Amino acid sequence: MELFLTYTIVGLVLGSVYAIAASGLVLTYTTSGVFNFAHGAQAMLAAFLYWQLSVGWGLPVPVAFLLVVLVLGPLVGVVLHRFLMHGLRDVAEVTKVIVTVAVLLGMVSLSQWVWDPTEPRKVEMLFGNSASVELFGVRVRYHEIICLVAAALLAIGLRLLFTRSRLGVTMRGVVDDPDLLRLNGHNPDRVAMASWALGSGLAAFAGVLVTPVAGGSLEASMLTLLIIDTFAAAMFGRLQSIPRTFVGALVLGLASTYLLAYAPSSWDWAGNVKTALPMIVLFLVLLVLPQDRLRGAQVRTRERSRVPSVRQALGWGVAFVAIVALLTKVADPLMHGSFVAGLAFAIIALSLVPLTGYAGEINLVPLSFGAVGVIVAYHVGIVGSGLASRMGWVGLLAGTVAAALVGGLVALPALRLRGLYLALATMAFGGLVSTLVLTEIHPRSWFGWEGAIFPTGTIMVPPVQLGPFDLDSDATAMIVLAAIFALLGTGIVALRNTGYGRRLVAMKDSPAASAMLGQSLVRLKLGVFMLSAAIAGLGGILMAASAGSVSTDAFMITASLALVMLTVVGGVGYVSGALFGGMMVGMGFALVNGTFRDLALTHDAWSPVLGSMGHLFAVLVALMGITVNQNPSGIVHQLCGGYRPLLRARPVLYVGAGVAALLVALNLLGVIGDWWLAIALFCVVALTPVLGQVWMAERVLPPEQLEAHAARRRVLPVERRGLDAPMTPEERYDLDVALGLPPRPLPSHDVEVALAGGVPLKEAVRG
Amino acid sequence: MAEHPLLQTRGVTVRFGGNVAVDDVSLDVAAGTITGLIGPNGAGKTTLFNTVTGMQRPSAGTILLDGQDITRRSPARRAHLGIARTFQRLELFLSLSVRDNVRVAGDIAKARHGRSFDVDAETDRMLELTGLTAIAEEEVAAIPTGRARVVEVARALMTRPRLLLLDEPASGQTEHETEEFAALLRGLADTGLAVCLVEHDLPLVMQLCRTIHVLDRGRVIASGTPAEVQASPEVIEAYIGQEVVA
Repeated sequence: MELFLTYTIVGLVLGSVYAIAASGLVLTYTTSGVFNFAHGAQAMLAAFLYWQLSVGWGLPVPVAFLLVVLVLGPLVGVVLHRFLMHGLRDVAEVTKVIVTVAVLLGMVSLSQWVWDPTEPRKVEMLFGNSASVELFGVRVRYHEIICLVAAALLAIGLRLLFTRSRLGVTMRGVVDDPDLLRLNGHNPDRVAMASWALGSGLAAFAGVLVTPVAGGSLEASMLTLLIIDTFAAAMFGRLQSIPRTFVGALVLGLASTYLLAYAPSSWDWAGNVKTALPMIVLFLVLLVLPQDRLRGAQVRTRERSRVPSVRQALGWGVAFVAIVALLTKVADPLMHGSFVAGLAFAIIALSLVPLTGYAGEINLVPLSFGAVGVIVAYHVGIVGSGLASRMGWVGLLAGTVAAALVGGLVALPALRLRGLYLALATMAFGGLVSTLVLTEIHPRSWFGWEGAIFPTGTIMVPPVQLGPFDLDSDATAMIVLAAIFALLGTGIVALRNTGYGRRLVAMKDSPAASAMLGQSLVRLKLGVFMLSAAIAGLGGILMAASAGSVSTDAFMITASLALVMLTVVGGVGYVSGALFGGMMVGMGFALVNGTFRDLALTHDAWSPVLGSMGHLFAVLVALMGITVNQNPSGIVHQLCGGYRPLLRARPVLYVGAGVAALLVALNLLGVIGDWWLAIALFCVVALTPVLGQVWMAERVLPPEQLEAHAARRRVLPVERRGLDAPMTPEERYDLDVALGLPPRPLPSHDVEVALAGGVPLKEAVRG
Repeated sequence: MAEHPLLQTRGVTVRFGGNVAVDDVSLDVAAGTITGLIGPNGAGKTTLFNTVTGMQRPSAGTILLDGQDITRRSPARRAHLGIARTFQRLELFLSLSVRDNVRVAGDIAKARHGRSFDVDAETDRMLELTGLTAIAEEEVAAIPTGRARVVEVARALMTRPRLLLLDEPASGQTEHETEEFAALLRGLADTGLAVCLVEHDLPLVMQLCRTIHVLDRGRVIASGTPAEVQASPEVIEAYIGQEVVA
């Protein structure tokens, strides 16, 4: 009985911490419409800050505690809302998810920069690990009592806030109708900011409390992935109801404690199941949630995708393979491996183009589906032994099919629901793969089959052999992978040009209208998700086989998140975006880190600065993700878009090409090194369109923009504005603000339409 | 004409919490006619459309299509049975051109119309019929609202429906566009299509519809020919207000 009480208290304490974190998550989600994937990362950062203040700098514990929970935590929330989240109300779900994922990655990179992850750190309980009282014959520590009391007070406090206080009532109003709230004289932005401050404060609180409860050692990735446990709890309340979230959190806390306590000692996997329990529960909750009601789309996507024809795609594909073939001759052979890795990741990233780019659905863990492919291919597909062993086409096929089937199983429960739920389900699946599948490194008996799923934690995957192509040599692998990428890319473009592709895009733009036309949304989403998982599986096998061996680290959730984020940054609607994302993850990080490490070794005086450049790069990459809302079509597309008008201004192109040729010549003569060449070429590529706009503006800029430029130069007296010249978006914005109307800066597109004399569609839609 | 009307709603009620948006509505829409549905804002017209198309489950009542109970069918299934609609708040596929907006409806419908349904030819025919050929290659996001409403109608017609529900199709249209649109609707009704029209442009409704139902605060307060409806004291009260009548 005493034992049971002890376990119950431990479970309740864990549940209380979950509840504190989950209520913060629900609070920000319901009031701002942004599901904060960085909630766990905020908790992590708070825990590290608390450690720094109390242990690192020796501040008294209460001071450190209050500083982190009451000042720094909420401050982070205010900053996030002010600079990122408040612009995200009407944007596509993908953009919202990617921005918070970028914040997550940025916070993780930042913490690894500041706090070297190889050093162990311990956090003691509040009042120390031994301070305790005896209750009903059970020893309860003060820290645990604080957790329980804090959660109880929070439950009551939030209840009072929402029912009694003016702020809480307006918070509920923000969800229902922000415009109405604005008309009633409230500022929905300020309300949302308050909720972000409160939510982030709660994340910080949970972060500081959870570490000692979970064992005491600070670990960035574990704390960051607290987000999965948290949203599993929040799922009990459909991400809306705070009381039900509390119930869910306590159920999770108790269930995982009892599981570990009462599982027979022969169940050596009970610990892993305990870690995975929230994810399992999440899938169970998804199964019982009622179907979402179809609503009109509130989101108006801002991207305008130009769809290439199959012939164009084929042309680009051939050119791409030719360039890669040329690179195998020119580039340093030591670089071939990096290129192969980049191409393999690009194939995995390609899985996101039909799914996210066309259909608007999100898979946050493509690498986990890659892991499924790798495991199956490893067990069934290796032909021959020793150095002569190869991965045959049977392995590739089996792994690809397995990934597709698993993808279907993962997606099925979430498909009846909104896109966010699918994103959450995939992340939970990523957690399941990490905690339950990739931990199976020792042999055991599986329904008659003896062996380990992922033997020793690092498996050797031999090179792929496809008919006459043996990918044993890196140069061949480069060309074959480039060809596979080009083929798949062309296939995806061809798909977009079929009725199926149009149906995918139609579903993204308006699920309601496509359902009304007779489209079964579940079937369409299931099909495209399986296709996407299959491509990810194939890419995973190619990645593992070309690297020779692959360890469990390769499939970490954060690596998946980085790949997804960079693909969206590159432009997830385009094959080129996948190439960008894959190259950055497979090649960019390794190269940049390697280069700076080498530089640090050779330049002693600068080594601290150079050593931190790799970290700086990681943080900067995360910053790219944060800006995705400004440029939803992707930077590759933007870059290409800058070149299109230059066809009318050839001299600019000649100058650009000339400078590039000069740089290559200097490199060949040995005047500048490879790195300087790469950096300089990058600058030339980025700056040539700008040169065109400055030098030959009248040929490059569209007439509307030229007119706008001219209008800006003419200074109009105030009273003539809007009469002699059309109002600029800025003036319209000022006018809206002055009149107390919702100030929405219009994207340039609408202005063009207005200038052309038509009524902008978006305004009509909003009306 | 068939013995029973194509669409029948029987005692349909929709409650949102304590709010009754649609209250015990029973009305019919016959094939080959244009039926009008009018009423002040918030009368429940769009909510009624949503229950007919399956976007909203009614709290009570049944919906019959050609005598068959479809109350519990999914939206996609109802589309297969021949219901199509347009939206008051436009729901166009903003990344697609005008032509592809129409064509994708054919892509979806092809599954049930079989191989003989040539999507491209059908799209061309529909663009021609609705007068959209000239702007077929434009981005749908860049065309004026009046035209956009016609795109929604063309898209709905691509599924070859038996019942077409139009939610304020004339709002945003110029006078000239409305005239063309009225002629299009008449032609469609003559081919046997049942059209149900929610519209605030009363002259248009009076001119087009054989039967008009008037909704106010979720209830049908009058039904009949345009002349009967215009003479109904309840309708005048709902539209003009109590004091004036009293």
